[in-house]
Parts: sequence; structure tokens; C-alpha cells
Amino acid sequence: MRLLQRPSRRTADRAVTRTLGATSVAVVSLFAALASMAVGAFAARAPRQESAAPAPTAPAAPVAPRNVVLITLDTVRADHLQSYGYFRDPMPALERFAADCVRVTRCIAPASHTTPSHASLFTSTYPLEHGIVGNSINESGAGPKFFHLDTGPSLRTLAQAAHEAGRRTGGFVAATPLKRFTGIQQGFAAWSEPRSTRRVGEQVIREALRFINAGDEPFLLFVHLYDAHGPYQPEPFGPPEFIDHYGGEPALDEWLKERRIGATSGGRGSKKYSSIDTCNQYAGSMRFLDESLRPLLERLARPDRAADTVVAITSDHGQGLGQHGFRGHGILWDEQLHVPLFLRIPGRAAVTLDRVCSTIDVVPTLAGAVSGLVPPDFLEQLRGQDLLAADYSPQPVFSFAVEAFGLDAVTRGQWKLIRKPGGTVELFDHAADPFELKNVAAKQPDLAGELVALLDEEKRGQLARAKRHRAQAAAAAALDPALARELAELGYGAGGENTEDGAIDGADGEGDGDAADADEGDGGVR
Amino acid sequence: MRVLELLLAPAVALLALLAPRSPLQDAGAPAPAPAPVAPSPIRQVILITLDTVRADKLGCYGYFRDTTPQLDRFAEQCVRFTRCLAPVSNTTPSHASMLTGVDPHEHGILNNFFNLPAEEQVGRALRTSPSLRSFAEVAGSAGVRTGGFVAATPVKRSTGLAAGFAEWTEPAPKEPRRIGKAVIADARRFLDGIDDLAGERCFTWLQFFDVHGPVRPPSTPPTKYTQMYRTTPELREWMAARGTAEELKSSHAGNMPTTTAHNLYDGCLRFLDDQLGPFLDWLGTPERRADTMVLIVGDHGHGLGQHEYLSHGLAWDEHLRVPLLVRAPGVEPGVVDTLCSTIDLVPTVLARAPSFADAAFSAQLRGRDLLSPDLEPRPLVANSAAQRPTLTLTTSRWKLVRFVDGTHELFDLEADPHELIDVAAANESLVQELSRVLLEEVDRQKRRRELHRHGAGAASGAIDPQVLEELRALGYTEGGDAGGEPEPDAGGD
Repeated sequence: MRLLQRPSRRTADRAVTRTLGATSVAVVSLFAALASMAVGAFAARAPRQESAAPAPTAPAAPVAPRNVVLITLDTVRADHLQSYGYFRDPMPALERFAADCVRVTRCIAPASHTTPSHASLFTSTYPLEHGIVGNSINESGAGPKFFHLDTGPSLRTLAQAAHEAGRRTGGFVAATPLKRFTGIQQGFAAWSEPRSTRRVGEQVIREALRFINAGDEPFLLFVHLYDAHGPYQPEPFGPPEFIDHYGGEPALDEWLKERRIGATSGGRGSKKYSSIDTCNQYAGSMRFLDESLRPLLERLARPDRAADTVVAITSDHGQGLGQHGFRGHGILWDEQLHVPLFLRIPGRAAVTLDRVCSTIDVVPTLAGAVSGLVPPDFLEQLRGQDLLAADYSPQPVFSFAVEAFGLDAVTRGQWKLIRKPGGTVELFDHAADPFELKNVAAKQPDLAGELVALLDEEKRGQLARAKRHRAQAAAAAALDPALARELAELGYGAGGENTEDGAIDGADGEGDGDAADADEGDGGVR
Repeated sequence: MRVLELLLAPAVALLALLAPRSPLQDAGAPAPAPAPVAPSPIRQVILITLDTVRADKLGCYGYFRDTTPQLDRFAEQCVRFTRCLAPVSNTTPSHASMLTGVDPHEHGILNNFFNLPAEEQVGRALRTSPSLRSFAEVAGSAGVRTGGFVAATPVKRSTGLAAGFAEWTEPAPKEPRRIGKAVIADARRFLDGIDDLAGERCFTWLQFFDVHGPVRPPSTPPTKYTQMYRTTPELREWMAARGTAEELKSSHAGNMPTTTAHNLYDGCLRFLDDQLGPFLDWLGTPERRADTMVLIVGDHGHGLGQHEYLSHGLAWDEHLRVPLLVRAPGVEPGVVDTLCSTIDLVPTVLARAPSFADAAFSAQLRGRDLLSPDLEPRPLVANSAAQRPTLTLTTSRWKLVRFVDGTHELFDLEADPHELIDVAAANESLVQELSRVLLEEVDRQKRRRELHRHGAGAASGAIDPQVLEELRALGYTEGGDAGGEPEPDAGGD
């Protein structure tokens, strides 16, 4: 399906024309931009306010941000950042940059696995609607646990939409769960991914900086960093000076205690891990991540980019670290879903928004902040809302771990309900119990029932829309014989797998194209 | 189909611009015969192949370390080619292409094969035929004395590459490799004998394996070289510009840090250079400059962690781009930036020394005379059988990578010479067109191969099982860590 949204040559020409127009507009508004920078600098020094009220906008200035940078910090849970209350500062460069950002206090991921969460982020739809309900366990495209983001006229990614709108698009990712086989790369005209399973952030950032410098056209840049993802042993995942940076402080004991994290927790098999070591290494990994990220943030903080580039920094999911007896991620406890969200919007004051939102709200917010980022019809598919819109109203948000664990969850205000397979539910009151330790479902049966009904209604809606997306994609494919042929050639059509290429090296009877590779035993992902 | 063609039309035009005189379009036709010239002064042709030496590691190619002072000095006598690509990055097929002047799909050796069970090696050696001959065979028939002196198993007699060499030495039967000095000693004995025969012409091939891993006994260079280079910020910067991680999660080299791999590689290169020094001096005398043509070339490069690969065998630039220095009597030293191939070596020799071959041989050659003032770039095909079987097409600006599953990646070499950022999605019609050109050219090569095979003689015998022992010593038969890695993130920990 990935051929679907690439522009024809003619579209590309139109894009160039548009780009030239946008450039001249940008030149004209240079003074305006400079003025707004001054405003921004002033706003950044203003005291941050905790408020449930909509964010006040900075004094109106004719700012026209043109670029978007979307950064996902894989596996970074919100409460491990100092700005979210952590007793350490594992990401000082991020915190420095965040001083100019709108910070949202309670952003909930729609899933706690990398692929579904990013598919939701990019499409502003929940997993049952876009169809990526779990991570694929292999890249082969076969088997029950293979998920590919199938886009079409009514379901597109932010990158596809921005590409259609004439933006330069670049995606730079660090690990397998976002590699091409997932379909996440659709719409990115420039793309790079690891050849094996993961790569360090420094490489990703270097390529991203080159992408920024490569042209003057407005761009959409997506950067994915994986350095905080386990396993945490220093080599080869990061130098020991970062990973082993933290030792145990008394504050860590307190931190573990209030979350009721035991002294050890189990991983796969029977191995037990010290919780203190786990937390120290995780924070150390974040420090390494921060060091990778720093050059990009410094570039984005320079006055030119501070005036013309919107930046969103979030994560795809958190990490258990032994909380609720779970070291990794993939289920729906708060520590696995609660992610940071920072929005740097030129001309908008740095404030704290005390709100419950979802990462599906990121794309609508970006579309609201940068005019012309996406074609107008793209807005129809967005299930999230613009967090900075004047008419913002709080909505319940949903999370799913359908494929792996059969769980779903809804968060509305202070209440969070998790439904388990078989229909039993757990209800938590975040006002009194932020770490989800005390199930109050039995005390609040009416509320629990109301939230379950909400969850059911939401799922029905997602499944109905998914059906419509599939029908639209099929119809679009049927209308375009050239495309149908391309798809068939790729093995998507009725023709089955394309075997023609197998003949290139092997079908002449001598089998030279096999793995008769004398010089290399390297595995990697095949 | 018509709709598709209309869409592709602009790309066709674009491609025509990229390769103004695309030889692929008439690749089925014989290459033009060398123009008649005055009797050539060339009495000797010496081909020196440096196994596993990538171009950008030589001082004369801009490397920041002093890895090759002797070669750099010799390069001042030569035309240096900055964009010469091997058609494959394994030793056996690459040398077969150099010596036959055709790409791997035409001579039929797509990979090294001697790590296979002996019975499977039957029929894999280079088999020449009336329509596919090795330059050594042709030169020998033309009355030229021929000598081949090689250093390692992948080019031993068992591979068929010795065809046509009247004199031949290789490592002893149980030895997988030998050092450069031994190769030079044998070659010097041969060349000194030629010097005693006034007027004799000769073609000599020397192959050097000192840069090829593994660095361990008995092939370990002196400590002076293995300890010569240490990791510096300059090295880190050089590696980072090429997208190299300092640690690879998976490699066959015992998870050696890539910085260490670079330091050892550079030390081995310096070891080779020091051994070559006296021989290059001997080649540099005025008498030899007047009658000896010298070609120094790599057979393939080495990954050293780029594209997350330590060794070679893939089709990325660092695996394919090799140094090429050509010295010929009467040819001024200089630098040529035109994209070219190692299959161009033999045509370049014959343009200057036509008496080294019969007239019919030129019909076989697919390459170009690299010293011609009319040299034009043309799209070059390469293949790799490692990891995912891959075909690539390189033009002056673009590199198309086509994987066995029919997916593509495209790199803009002007903006991204190290092939890090895939721009296929932004250049869909160009990808289609380049892919069509690639597949058609490979198809032509395979058809010609069938013709060559039709005329081939009886199958050559099985490879000596002894070879397997040698391979084990070279590290070729180690399974590596080819097992699948656990998918991160997949099971929720």
C-alpha cells in the first residue's frame, strides 16, 4: 500500500510552486517573526502556571510557523522527568528546551507498545480503527501476529497528509517496531531505519540535522529515539558513563515505596532483578538519550527555528520498572501509559496545562498550529482534538492492549477504568491514588458501569470506522488500474507473492543466490 | 500499461540526462575495437589486487591517517580513479570479473563458494569457454608470458581463476593464506626471469590478502601494526559521518567495537603498504615507467560497521568502492572522477597494448577504456548474495538498491554519498525506471551467460576437500551469530 500516496510528478511541481510562495511569505513576515521571538523570550521568563483553564495565548503576533518536528522518546515514562516531578534530572537538555514549551500534565498513550502507539499518534485514531493492535513479532508479513498500517483515502498518516500538502517529509527511526514493514514510513519522502534491530540516537539525530539543513522548503520531521528502551546493560546500548550514572539515593527508596515496588521483580523466566538497579539503569539510559537529543534541541532553540518551527516531544509508552510487578510495558497501568508531552509553539507562552489528553491529540494540535500543514479533508479522520483550541473541552481517552493481553481502558478526568478479559474491571481514583494501587470498582458500581458503556460505545465506533476505511481503500484501489497493478506486483493483490525476483540469483539451477556467503556470518534481521 | 509508460516518460528523459550515452542500451553489442595505433611500447602489464581495501582508507583518497605512504607516493605516477566500483564484494567473483571483463551474472560466479560442502562446489569454479575467456588465457595464446601469484584460498587454483597463467603460485595446500612478502618474492623471481629475455611481453597478477581479516594467529601482523592506531576524536567523527555506531549489537567478530575494527584494519593496511614499498620502488624506475603498465585495484571494500555490518559481501558503497591507480607509458598522471568499474581494467590495457590479445577478444569485453578522453559514466550493476539477495544500479547521481522481495531503496549520492537516507518514496517514477534498467541489464547478462555455458567444455572436477580445512583456518566456516535476534518490544518484556 505504500505506493498509494506518493505524488505524481505533476503534484510535485505544484508542491514546488507552493513552496516558493510560502518562502516569499516567510520573507515578508521576517520582522513579524523577530517581534514574536521577543514575545516568546519574555513569555519564557514568565512564571509557569498550574491551571486547569485553557492556555492563554501570547499577545497576538502575526506568526506563521511553517515547520513541524515531532520527536518520540521511546519508553520514556512521564514521571521520570524532573518537570513531571522526578527527584532526579535525567534529561537536562530536554528540560532546558521544555522551559519554552507548553507542558501537558497527563498525556495517556493509546497503547503501550511501540507500533500501535505510533500508528495512533500518526493517524489520530485509536488502534481498533487503524488496525495495528499490537507489535508484529516478525517482519515476514506472515502469521497471525503481523500488522501493517493499511492507509487509504479516509485513513492517512500525518506524513502522507503533509506530503500531499507539499511539505518536505523526513522520518528517522531507531528500532524494529517502526521499520518499513509496519507501514509507518508511508508519506516520508526521506526515510532511514536501522538495518538490524536498533541504533543509537546519535546516528538518528545526525541524519535529522542533515535533513533540516537540506532545503528551505517547509518540512515535517519525525525523529524516533530508542536509547531509553531496555535492556539496560551498558554495552552496546550506551556508554557506561551514562548508563551507570546513577547510584542509589535515599530518595529512590522513598520513590519505590510510594509506588509499592518491591526490592526485586521478575523478567522473563525466573530471573529476578533488583528494582534499585533497574531504576538507576533506566534513568541512566534516559541520560544517554538526552545526550543524543541535545544537538537537535539546541538547533531547534536557535532564534530562526524558535520562530518558524513547531516542536512536539512525547513518547509512545512508559515502562513498568517493577510497578504492579511488571518490568516492561505492554499493559495498561498508568506507569506504562502516562507519557510526557511538550509543545513548542512559536508565539505561545510556555505554560503547564493540567489536563488529561491522549497522544492522538498531537496531530490535531499540530494541524491547528501550522496553517496548511495538511489538506483540509485530512481533518475529518482525526479523533483527537486541538489541545490549544479555544473551544477545547475535556474528553475521555482510551487505551488498548487487545492483541497481547485482551485489556482495554478508559480515563475520564480523575477516573481510570481497566477492563480485563472476561469483563472484570478495576477502577482507580487518580485524585486520591495516582499510582493505581486501590481498586474502587466495588464502591462505585454506577460509575464503573458508565465507563464500561463508554468503552463499548467507543470500540463499536472504531470498528465501524475501520470497516469504512477498508472499503474506501479497496474502492480507491479498484478505481486505479495502474495502482492495482503495482500492488499486485508487490504481492498485495490476488496474484499472490511476487516470485519473479527469486529468480534473479537462484532459479538458474545453480542456486548462487543462497546464503553461500563466505565472508560474513552477521545475523541481523533478514 | 500505457498509463504507466506515460507516467514514466519524464523519468526516462531524466535518466537519459543522467547517462547521456547509456552503454546499457547497447550492451548486447560488442565493445568498439581499439583504434589502430603505433606499436605499443608496453612490454609488461602488472595487475596488483589489494583484497578488502576500500578506497577511502588510502591517504591519496583523503584518509586522515597515514595508512599508505608508499602507495600514495606511487599514485603520483598514476591516473587515480575516485569512483571505481567492484561489481560484487566477494573475492572470487570480483576477481573473475576483472579477469574476464564481464559482470558476475555473465561469468556465473555470484559469490564465494568454497565454504560449501565439497560436492556442492562441483561446477561452481570459473569455467571458460570460446566465448568467455580469461585475459590470462587470451594473452598466453597471443604469445605473452603469464604469471599469477596469489595470497589466499578464495583465488586458489580450485576457483578456476588460475586459467591461462603459465606460472602460478599460491599458498601451500594446507595454508589458507600467505603474507604479501611471499607473493612479491615469487613475482620478482618471475619478473627477473622475464628481464633476462629481451623483448618478451608478460602479464603478471599479484594478489595481496594482508588487509583481509581475521586478525589472529597465524595471520596476525606484527604488534607494531596492530597497535599502531588508537581511537581518536577524528576517527569517531569520520565514522559518525558514515553513520557508524561504535558498537554493533550483532556481528561475527565477537562484538568487536567498530572503533577497534577500524584501528586494526588501518594497521593491516599499513602493514601491506610497508611490504609493497620496495616492489613499488622497483616498478618506479624510469626504464619500467617506459615499458610497464601497472594497475593497482581493490577487489572489494569492507563494512567496518557502516550499515551495521563489519565485514563485506553486501552492495553498499563502502563494500563496492575500491581504489584504482593506473600507470601507463605516455599517460600523464591525474585524477578521474567518472563512475567506472573494475570490469574496465582489461579494455583499458588492450587500448594501449592491443598485441596482448587477439581481435576476437574485444567482443567479449563489457567495459570501457578508462584512459579514453571520451570516457562517459554509465549505470553500473552490482549484486550481493549475503543477507537479503540484492541487486543495485549506480548512476553518477543515484544508487538504486533492489532487494529480493521486490522492494527498493534509493539514495541521492550527491546529497548522501554514504547511502544513509532512502528517498525512494519521493522519486517513485525514477525508482521504477532505474529498476527496469537494472533488471533488463541483469537479464541480458544472464542470457549471455547461457551462451557462454553452451560453449563450455566438460565440467571441471570437484574442489579438493582440503580447501575446507583452509577455510576453517580463515574463519570462513564459522557459523557466526546468524540466529534471529529477539525482537525488542515484542513481548511486553
